[in-house]
Amino acid sequence: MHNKVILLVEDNPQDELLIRRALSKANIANRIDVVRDGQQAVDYLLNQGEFRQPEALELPVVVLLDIGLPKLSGLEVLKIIRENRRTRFQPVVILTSSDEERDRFRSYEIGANSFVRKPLDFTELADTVARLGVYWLAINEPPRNCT
Amino acid sequence: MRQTARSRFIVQATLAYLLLALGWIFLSDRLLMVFMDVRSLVWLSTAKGIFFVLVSCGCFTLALHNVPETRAPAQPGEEAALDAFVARPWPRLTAYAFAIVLTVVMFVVRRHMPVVFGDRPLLVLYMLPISLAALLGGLGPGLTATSIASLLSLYFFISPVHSFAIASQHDLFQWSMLALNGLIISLISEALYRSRQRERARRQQIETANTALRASEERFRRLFENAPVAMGLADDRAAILAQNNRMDQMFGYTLDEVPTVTEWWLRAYPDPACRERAQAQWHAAIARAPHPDSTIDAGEYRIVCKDGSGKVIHIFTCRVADGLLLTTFIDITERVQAQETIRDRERKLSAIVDNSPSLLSLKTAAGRYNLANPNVQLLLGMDEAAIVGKTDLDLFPADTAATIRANDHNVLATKSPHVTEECLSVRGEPQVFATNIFPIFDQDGAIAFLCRISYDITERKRAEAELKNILERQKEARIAALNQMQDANAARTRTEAALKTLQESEERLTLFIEHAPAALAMFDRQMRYLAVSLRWRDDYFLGEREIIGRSHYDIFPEIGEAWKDVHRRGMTGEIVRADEDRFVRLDGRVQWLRWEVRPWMNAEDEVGGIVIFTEDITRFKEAEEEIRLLNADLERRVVERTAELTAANRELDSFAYAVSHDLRAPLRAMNGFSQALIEDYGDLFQDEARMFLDQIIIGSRKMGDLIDGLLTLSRSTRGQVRRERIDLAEMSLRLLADMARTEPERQVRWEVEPGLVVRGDAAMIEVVMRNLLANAWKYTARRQEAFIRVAAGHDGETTGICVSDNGAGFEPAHADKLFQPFQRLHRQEEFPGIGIGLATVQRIIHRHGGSITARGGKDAGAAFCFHLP
Repeated sequence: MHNKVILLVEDNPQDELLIRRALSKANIANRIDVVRDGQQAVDYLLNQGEFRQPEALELPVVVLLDIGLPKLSGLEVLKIIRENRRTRFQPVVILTSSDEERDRFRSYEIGANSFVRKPLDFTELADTVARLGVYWLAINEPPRNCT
Repeated sequence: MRQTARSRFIVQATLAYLLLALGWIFLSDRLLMVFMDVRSLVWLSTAKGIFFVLVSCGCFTLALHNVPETRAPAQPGEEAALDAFVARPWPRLTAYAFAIVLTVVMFVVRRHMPVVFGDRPLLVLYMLPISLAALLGGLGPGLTATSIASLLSLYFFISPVHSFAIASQHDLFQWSMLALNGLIISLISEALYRSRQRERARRQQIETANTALRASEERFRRLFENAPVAMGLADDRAAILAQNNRMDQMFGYTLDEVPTVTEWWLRAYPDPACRERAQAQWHAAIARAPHPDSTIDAGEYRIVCKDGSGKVIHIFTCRVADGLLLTTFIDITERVQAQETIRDRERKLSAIVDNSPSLLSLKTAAGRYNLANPNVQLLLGMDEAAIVGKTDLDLFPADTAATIRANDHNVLATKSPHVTEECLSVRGEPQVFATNIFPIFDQDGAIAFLCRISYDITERKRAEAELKNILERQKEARIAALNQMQDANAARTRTEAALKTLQESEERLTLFIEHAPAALAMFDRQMRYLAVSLRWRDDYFLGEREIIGRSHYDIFPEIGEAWKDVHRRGMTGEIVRADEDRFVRLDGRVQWLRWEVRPWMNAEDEVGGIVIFTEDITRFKEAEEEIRLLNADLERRVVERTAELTAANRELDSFAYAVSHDLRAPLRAMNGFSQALIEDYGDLFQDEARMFLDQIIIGSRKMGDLIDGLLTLSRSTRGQVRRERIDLAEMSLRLLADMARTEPERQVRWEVEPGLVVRGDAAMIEVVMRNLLANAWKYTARRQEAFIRVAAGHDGETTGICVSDNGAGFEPAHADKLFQPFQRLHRQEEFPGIGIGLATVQRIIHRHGGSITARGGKDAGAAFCFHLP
């Protein structure tokens, strides 16, 4: 389970730091790959562009996806993921500052697995992230042969 | 003819030359044989050549001059030169003398020069004098020269010398040739001369004829130019060759302007239809002509001249030569006009005479009728033809005729008009006529006619007599009446009183109508005005015009059939009305009227006429229109403002969206890293430093709350407001139960009135209720017995929903700040909050078009009542 990768799509380095801290406090030692914008996220997941590898990597166990991102927004990234055969079942958690109703609605409409608001208080954030980690890494069963 | 003369001349000239040349060669070579020595032979040969050249030159000159001209006649100068030669300016005797002298000279020369010529006769020498004499003088001098030369040479040079006998045959032949040559040359010369003479005579003849022709042409031209009538000459191709001065003056156009007959028609008749008619008349006249060369009277034409004036012209035309048409135009405009004037006057006069209501007649001074108008004809019972020429005695009974004649004589004697009354009896009935007799004078001042104008005043006379009669009778009656009067006085007083009452009542009615505050008019059955209100006069701009008794339709001729129909319906007893009706007056004004037409009943309970009531509602209509326009403008402005608002809202929305995303991250960083510091390095900080870090964390949380509050406020009024049925009681109970669950330690009692229902946007109203209940919950925290009530409340005249509590309340003085964002009436330590809840509540209520009020007192609880439309 420890070799599973978590992909964090987050343009704000401070938030990245806080999320990493929250994860480590929850004793989640999985590798955390971070990309800074929507395009990178798509490239990473679809094995293309700057992230192209000779052999496609295993998909992350969960993608923590912010909405407000440079280049492609989180919702656009999610749409591309869902439209691609390889990544269509990829678990994606929208992790965002926004509590806009319409963001929430759009996210679920496109096919987010979960919508989580980043709490402002770190204690709450740490708690939230810990629960997320536990859920997606330990509890949730992804479909087999999802490629 | 000319060609024949020319050929004959050529034959003659050729023949002459042939003989001359042959004779010359024959004689001259015989001559040369005489000379033995070459020297003299050469000399002689040269002389012979020169002589031939001279003779042939002479012949040529003559011949060339006699070539008859084929084309242009000879120039006068040339003619003279020719005449000088051929016509022999010298007398014929001179020619004879010349022939004799020249022959004798030749004889002398021959006789005195034997050395040169030898002893041969050399008759050829005489050919020179013979030829010259013949050329200059013709047959006579030629023969003279020949005779002299023959005789002298025979006597002196042909052997035997000094005798007229001839020894050798050779000499005889030579001599005979000389004589023959001379004869022939003389004959030819004479022929030439005669031919020339004939030619001259012929030429003179032609010249004379030409002169006569030119003179004739000039005469014709002058005649044409100065003719007192307008004339034009045209050829068969319709080109106008000439037109005279009168034509220029009459028509105005010069020949250059109107070069063809076609053009003339175009100018004279600009109107195509008229032109066609006139041309048809013209062609018909031409076709009617009995003979092609006769003068044709083409009739009268009304033409248009260059200056635009019209003229009546009479046109005659005749063919003067092959294809030449001489047309004469006589201006008869004045005559035609004069005729028309006369005809016009005649027409008028005869109309007057025929239609005069009087008896009108005209008699000669001798008393014979010349004219009698229809009234006279009617009186006499005969037509005009029967009357004209007759005298009064023929037409009237003797006494009547005498009366008439006496009055006529009076006028004849005085030569001045006479007005009289005549009592005439025609067919036995005496009639009285007022008669005016006056004389009409001829040019010399003598009386030509007597005119009588009479009219029948019999009836008038009778009426006058009757009137007189009646007046007499009235006089008697009046006396009788005076007696009755006294008896009647009492009755009259009574009647007068009744009448007065009636009059007063009528006056009151009239006054009432006149000053009625509406436009009102009363009409009789013929639509004549009986009474009218002042407003009616004002509304229909009648001013002070006298209209009572006049027909409505006379005063408003623009009234159409539709209206007349309405009036007719009124007359039948119907009441017709319209609340608004549009009228366009004659001057274009538009009037809106409310009107009513109703009949009025007379004493016999019949429709006596109608009453029309109208009200000018133009001003109302205008005001209505203005309001409509204003409304439209308002609507437009609302639409514009709404668009502006929508744009502003959209901007605010995107701002809020950015706030919710971007402002939170730095706060999270502040909060997170402060907390990290405390967790990881807490030991290193002193208490005060810990406290500072805590303050950073509290600050960041507070900031987060503020941001959330702002977002709620901004979202509270976003989107469309839906109107749905909301069970407020159920909602309140649910929310209160939630709060009780969240804070189970609180002891709060609540009371919710059942059946509270409003219409509004459920999500928004939930925000309202949540805020109001949360406030009540919060501010009753310090009460032992907290109580919250949700019920229908009366606030002034409106019924609303009130949420009241027995909590901390507020200072009424600061009530106005309650609903402003971030305004709080309690310190944070007393009751925490950010001051955005009530602002949100008010905005939602306002968004629904409702209102909210707050009541309360310090520590006396608070009540928030809202009302939704």
